[in-house]
Amino acid sequence: MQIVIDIDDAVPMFNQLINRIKEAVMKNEIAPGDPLPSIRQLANDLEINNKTVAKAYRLLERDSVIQTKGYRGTFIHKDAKANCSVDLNAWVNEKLEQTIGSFRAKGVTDSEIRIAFNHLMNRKSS
Amino acid sequence: MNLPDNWLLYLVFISQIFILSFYLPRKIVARINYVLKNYSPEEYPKLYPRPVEYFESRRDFFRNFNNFNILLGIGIMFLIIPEFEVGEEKGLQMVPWAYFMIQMIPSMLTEVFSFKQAKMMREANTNKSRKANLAPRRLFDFVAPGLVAVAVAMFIGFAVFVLYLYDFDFSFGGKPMSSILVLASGNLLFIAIIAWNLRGKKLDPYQAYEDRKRIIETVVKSLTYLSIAMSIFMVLMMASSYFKWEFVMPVMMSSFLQIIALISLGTPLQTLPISRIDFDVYKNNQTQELESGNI
Repeated sequence: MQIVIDIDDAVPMFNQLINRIKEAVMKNEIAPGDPLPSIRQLANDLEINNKTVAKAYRLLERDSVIQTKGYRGTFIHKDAKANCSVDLNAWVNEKLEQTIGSFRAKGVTDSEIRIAFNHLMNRKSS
Repeated sequence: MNLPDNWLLYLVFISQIFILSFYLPRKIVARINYVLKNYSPEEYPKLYPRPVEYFESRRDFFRNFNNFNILLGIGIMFLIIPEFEVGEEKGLQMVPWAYFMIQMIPSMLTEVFSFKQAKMMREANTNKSRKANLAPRRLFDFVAPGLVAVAVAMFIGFAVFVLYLYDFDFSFGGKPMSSILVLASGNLLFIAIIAWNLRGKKLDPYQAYEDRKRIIETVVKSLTYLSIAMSIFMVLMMASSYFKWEFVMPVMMSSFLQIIALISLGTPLQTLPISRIDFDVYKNNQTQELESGNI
């Protein structure tokens, strides 16, 4: 099964890669349990950086679309098809919108929300 | 050493001249001519990053170098081999080897040239879309596990044999350990070439995936056969050195070098017929789209 990415596309390459793999799963072009190429092989074939493919694989693994089995390689997850439809970005947006809405209803200003959000994010990453 | 003293050596040496400087080069030149005749730069522009005359001059250089090698081989046969006396076979075995190194120069230059051509093709490639297959390329997709097992067993067999011959002398720098190291280095080089073919970068940016798979299969199989041949040759060389059968060494050396050439140059010519290569990928984009009905 062949995938195509466009290096001039505005969509980042790791996102294109995630979308192509998810499309292949949804169209049954690759089945659960099917092996995927190694990061190095795919990066060399697409003539892109290893880190770009590694990032795409990491996010797909987080979403349980693929799973890594140590030295045996990377495979399509058994629940990949169901997990492909889960959009974590959309879920985060929805949850944040609800939370911000409830703050505003209590009279909290946008500036106060931003400061609190930044404070929490900075604390989390430090 | 004159003809009656070692007629077999003369026969094998003539075969070395014929196979390496006439038979295989003639097949390679015929292949180049077929491509130049049937896949013109007008119709297949991506195949020619430089004017067609550039490729013709490289072909002519290859042909002329091989013609020179034929004359050189005849010269060696009449002027150098007769100079060796009976009993000097240990030195004489280096003659087919040295001649082989010269015979391989045109093929090695062709290999370098094909790398350069691929580089020029990559530089000329303006296509912004990149393609890849979502299937891993694994060693045993391209070669039978049994064949690899035979190659490994032959290497182990050689190591055990040579250690047995020299009373299990494990001293570093000793004859058995040195020969094991030489063979192991050769095998490591083969492993590196195979790994690079399986996982490395695609040289030709337009090459069809099926063609690439066929080339990888040929490389992997050829190198596995070469590894087996190397082990057998080393066993024979060590045995002839131990049992003082020096008189067969030059014949063995020349025969082995011919086998190497037939496996490394002959196998690709045999298993990768030009009719199976997808040349449509070298047409310009508009022609490709017209033929696929997208325009």
